[in-house]
Amino acid sequence: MKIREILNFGYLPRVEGHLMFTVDVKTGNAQVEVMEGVRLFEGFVRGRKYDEVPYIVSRICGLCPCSHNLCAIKAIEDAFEIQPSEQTIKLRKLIVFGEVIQSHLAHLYLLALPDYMGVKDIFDIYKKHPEEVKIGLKLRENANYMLEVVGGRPVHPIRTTINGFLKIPTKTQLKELLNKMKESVEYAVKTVELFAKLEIPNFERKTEYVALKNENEYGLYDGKVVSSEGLNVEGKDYM
Amino acid sequence: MKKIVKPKIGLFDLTGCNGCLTVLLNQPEILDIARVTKIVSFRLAGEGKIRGRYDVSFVEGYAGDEEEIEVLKKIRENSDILVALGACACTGGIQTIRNFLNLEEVKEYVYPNSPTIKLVEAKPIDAHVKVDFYIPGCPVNGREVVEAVKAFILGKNPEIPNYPVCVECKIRETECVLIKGTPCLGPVTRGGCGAPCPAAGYICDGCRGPVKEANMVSEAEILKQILKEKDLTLLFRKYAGLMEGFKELAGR
Repeated sequence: MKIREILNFGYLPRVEGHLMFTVDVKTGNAQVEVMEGVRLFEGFVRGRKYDEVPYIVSRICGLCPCSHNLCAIKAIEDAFEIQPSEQTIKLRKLIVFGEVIQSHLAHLYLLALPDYMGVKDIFDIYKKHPEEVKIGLKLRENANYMLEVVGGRPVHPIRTTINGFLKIPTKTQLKELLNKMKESVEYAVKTVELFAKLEIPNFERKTEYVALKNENEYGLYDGKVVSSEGLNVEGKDYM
Repeated sequence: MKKIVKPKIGLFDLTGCNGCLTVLLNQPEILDIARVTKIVSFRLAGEGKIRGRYDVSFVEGYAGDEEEIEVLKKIRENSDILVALGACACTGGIQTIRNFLNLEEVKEYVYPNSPTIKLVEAKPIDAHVKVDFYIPGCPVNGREVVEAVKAFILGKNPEIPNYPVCVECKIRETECVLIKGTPCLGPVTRGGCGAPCPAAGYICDGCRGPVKEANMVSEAEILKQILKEKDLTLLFRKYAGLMEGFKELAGR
């Protein structure tokens, strides 16, 4: 028998995606189940025009749309043996950084922090610690500005395309971005200080950690897929 | 409608990308919204449980399986006002592309031999429940969502424009891409987004669905001069290929 009441016990809050926690009373087994309809992107992009695929697949996730978008662009460039310009790659890396910053901040402040503080959500935290919350939101705002001026908008980029950009940021926008990033460094330090104060429960389990690895830089845009269990392959050989 | 003091709000997500609720979280007014309303349910950033009655519920995503259809019905039962948030909820969204294909074949391609995966047809949420207001777009325009929340507090209906995207290209002085021979759905797509896509050098690909009384015949004539029949069909089969006006050209 499964204890399973939709929504009332239901969806695990503050995670990306729908998961349900179920307990088998007889066996005592607890498990997390993916509770979401399927969308079938891999199936329905077949037969579409190649240059619209990056826009379609960004819709896989609204929290990391730029990664899906750029991943498709890179795959298509690979297929056509296109080597984009240095400028294009630099601008794309800004988008990757912007997305990682805003997504990690969403995780820290919106998804994780309420658990550590024993409250329901960030709005509860705001009542007691308005300055801290404002710092988190300001950092996200600055990262979103990066996505806005380079990718066109934070959720579902529109300026990125195969072998380049449809439009690039102006000098004024880049200067403004630089100022905002300088401001962000200061706030990022405050964020580290805030999270360093939290008491992290002592819990470890066997986990395989997977990441991109690049010999020349922090692997976010390019690199081999490596894991703590010894995986080490080129991206195209991963699947 | 009467003014609602501190309305109880539910922010729900069915199957989708969470992009529309992310856009809402990105709005500078989000803390003010949390202050002047009571956000009772918000799985993405708070708690997902359905608790009592809601003055206004916003629903993102499409009902992707039988259980989500039941969840959607329960949200409807408990809500005075139900708002469809974004393309998936308003028009069925990007996954409606698959409705034009052999669904079983598409499923087998992605999840071979997986009998546990039960597919339902991708549809707008108003195929299952009554919807009071629609805020379209993939993703939504965050300003429209903020304005809608303000309107509900003041006891007014939110205003979603019913003019084509072209109006907004003119306002922001974006050069017309259709005149340059690039296929664009701006003339037949509902505005309100602020026309960011043509301004970015892309086209309007119709994410907000058809504008009322769109001149589809004329649009089709222009597009046929630029596109092959098959590509024209694909253009309309994207976010809103099931909707009146688009579906005829999407080949349905």
